[in-house]
Formats: sequence, C-alpha cells, structure tokens
Amino acid sequence: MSYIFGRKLILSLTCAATLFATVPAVQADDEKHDSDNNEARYRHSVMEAMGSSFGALALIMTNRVQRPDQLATQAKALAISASVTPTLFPAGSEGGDALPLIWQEQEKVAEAAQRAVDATAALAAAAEAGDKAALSKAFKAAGESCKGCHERYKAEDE
Amino acid sequence: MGFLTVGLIAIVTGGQTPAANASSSSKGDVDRGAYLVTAGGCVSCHTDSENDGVPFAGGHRLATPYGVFVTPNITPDKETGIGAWTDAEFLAALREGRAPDGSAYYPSFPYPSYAGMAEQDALDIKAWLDTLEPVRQPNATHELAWYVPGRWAMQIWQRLFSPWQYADNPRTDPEWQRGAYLVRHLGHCGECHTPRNIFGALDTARELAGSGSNKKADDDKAVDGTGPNISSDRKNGIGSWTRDDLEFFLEMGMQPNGDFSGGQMTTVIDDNTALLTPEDRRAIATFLLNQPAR
Repeated sequence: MSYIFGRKLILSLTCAATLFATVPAVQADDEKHDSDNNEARYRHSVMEAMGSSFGALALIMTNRVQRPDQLATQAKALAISASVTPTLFPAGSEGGDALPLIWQEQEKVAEAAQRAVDATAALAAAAEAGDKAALSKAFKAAGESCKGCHERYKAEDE
Repeated sequence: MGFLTVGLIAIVTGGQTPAANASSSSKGDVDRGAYLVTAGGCVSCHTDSENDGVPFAGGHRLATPYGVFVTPNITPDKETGIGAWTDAEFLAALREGRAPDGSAYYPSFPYPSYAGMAEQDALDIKAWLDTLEPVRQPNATHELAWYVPGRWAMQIWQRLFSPWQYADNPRTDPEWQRGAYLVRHLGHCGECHTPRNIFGALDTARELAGSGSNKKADDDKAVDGTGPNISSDRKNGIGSWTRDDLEFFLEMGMQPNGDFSGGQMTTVIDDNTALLTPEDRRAIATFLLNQPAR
C-alpha cells in the first residue's frame, strides 16, 4: 500500500466517521467495558448498588410492594453505599461513564460527592423516623444530589 | 403515591407569591392561572436562573442549533414587560406567535404548541402573570446563526407550519385527552422530544421520537431544545416503563433503574411536573405510554 493511498484511506475514514456521527458513540460505549480498569469497575458497581437501593425504595414508597418495614433497611443500604462516593474517583481511574472533567474539577467533585453522602444519610434518618412527608422530601433531595453530579460529569446513557 | 406530593403543591404558588392589590383587566382566574403557569413551564424559560434573575423577568439564554435566543420579560412592567398588553394581544402572542406590533415571533417561543391551549386557560395564565411585581428589565436581542432568517420570514414560516398538526385519531377517554393536552400543548414536551425538519418545524409524524442528546458535557455545546426518545419504543424510548415508573419519574426524577440522570429534564421536573396534581401526572403517563413506538 503506497503512502499516498494510506493518506487517502485515512482521509476517507475520517469523512466516514464525520458523516456517521453515531460511530464514535458506539466505540465509546465499547470502551466502557475496559476490564483492566478495576477502579472504574468498582465505581460502576457502587453506583449500580445505589441505583438498586433507590429502585427498591421507590417500589416501597409507591406501595407497589407491601414492605413498609423494609423502608429503613433500604435507605440505610443506600446511605452505606453512598458513604464511599468521595473515594470513587482516584487519579488514574479515568474511564467508564466518568467524564474526564471530573479530574479537572476535583474540588467541586469532592463537594458534590459529600452532598450525596449527606443527602442519603438524611434520607436514611427520615426513613427511620417514618415521617412520610419528610421522607418524600429527603428522597427528592438525595436524587438531586445524584443529578447534580451526573448532569456535568457522567457520560450519556446509551 | 399521594403522600409524595405533600408539600409540593404549595410550592406552585409559594415560590412567586402574587403581589397584593395588583390590578388586572383580565377575565382570568388567578388561582387556576397559577397552576396553568406551572403546567406550561413558563418560569423555566422566562427566568435567568443562572444569574439569579427575578422569576419571569426573562434573560434566560437558550443555546439552540439556530443560535442563542434570549427569553423576554413577561412580568407586567408596562414598558419592558407585558403589562400594557390587552387580553386579545396576549392570546395572539401565546397561540399565534404574533406580537402586539403585528410582527411574528420565532418559534423558540412554543406558540405552535400553545396554539391548542383553551382560551380560558390562556386568560387565566395572563390573570396570574398580571399579579406579579412588575420588573423593569429590557429584553436582550437574540444572537442567531447566519442561516436563520429575520423575523419577517417567520410570517411565512407560521403559515406553513404553525400550529403543529397531529394526524392520529384522538382517544375519547378524558384521561388520555387531558394527557394529550398537557403533553402536546400546555407542557409542550414535543418542542424538545420531537425531531424537527430542515425548517425547524416539528416532524409530528415522528412525535416524541427524540431529537438528540441534551447532555451538557461541554458548556459551549448548543443543546437546548433537544431531548431523548420518549415514545413507547421498548429499546430507544420508554416503552419498557410502567405507568407507575413514569409517574414516579415525573415527580421525583428517578428512572426505573434507580438512576437520576440530570440534564434539562431536571428543571422541567422541578418547575413543572413535580408540582402537578397526581391526576395530571397520571394523565401524562397514560398519553405517553399509549403513543406508538417510534
């Protein structure tokens, strides 16, 4: 293959990639499953655990399952998972759904992570107390603490 | 999920308490108007929340693929707001996109959606807006892309495209109809969730099929006015969600997988859907989940 041909090939590939803007997104998706980055996998697992706890709480709160006695347990599980959030973004663990911006704005990320710790602790306290109005408010606040971070620092869901 | 809304409804009026003794020439009902303003999502766009602007005084920058639209002041200031408008002028603006001077608005103002609003609802909205404290804040000019024509061209555009037309057969049950009213008109969901044609008009044959990501990964990216597929397609849309899932999402922002994803929908939930009655959220869910998969 001649040098010229190689350049042409690269050029046409670049054009193709530009035309089909979805191609880079698909590739990025594959990169998420980088099994060597165990810190990113751990981060993902903890986040999934929080999501699962939120899901369980929602089912109880909307009476889709009759388990009012397990509300406090699930809220506590959520708060325990969330308590390690500030440690989830160590240097060198870039990858997965986490956008590179996280490592450029570490101070802001630390604050946001602490908000998640505090908000989920407050949710656990509200669930323990059994005050429905307070619980609803605390659930929303805990969700806000997730959203606040995901909006800026998490890659788009596929 | 009744208990989840405890305290939230109060926020509808609690955030912007109408000024006492405000005069109003309108035939509208102020209390109904307060709720309709919420369901219309007016505050989200007409408030410069990034700079702690006064609610409804405008100045919010909508960074769209067509350039930056700066929203206007809709407090009742007579010079810089809409305090001098008659009921007829308000109706023409809201439902036909016509300014009091006869010129046509850009459809960044979702009048092609609001066109389907009941006249009394529109007048109720005006009645409530009239009770706000007037704020003197002149409107800023839009900063549009070179390929966007001047406002003169919008008269032609309006004849061609406004209001949005929906070809499907409406269902007759009140819940579906209420949902359609909230989604298509008052809540103008399609303005972000329905793709647009080359002229910037909604492609209603692909209603709610999504218009791209509105993720603000990069602050400079023009993403306002875009949103994901919320048709009942099981893979690309929300067809795998139950009605309970969707109602809970509209109230709390949580997706069925337990994730809270953020983006502009956060604002829509906080300013609009979380503050609706459970019945209205149910109606929205009923309408959305009965949309065809696209």
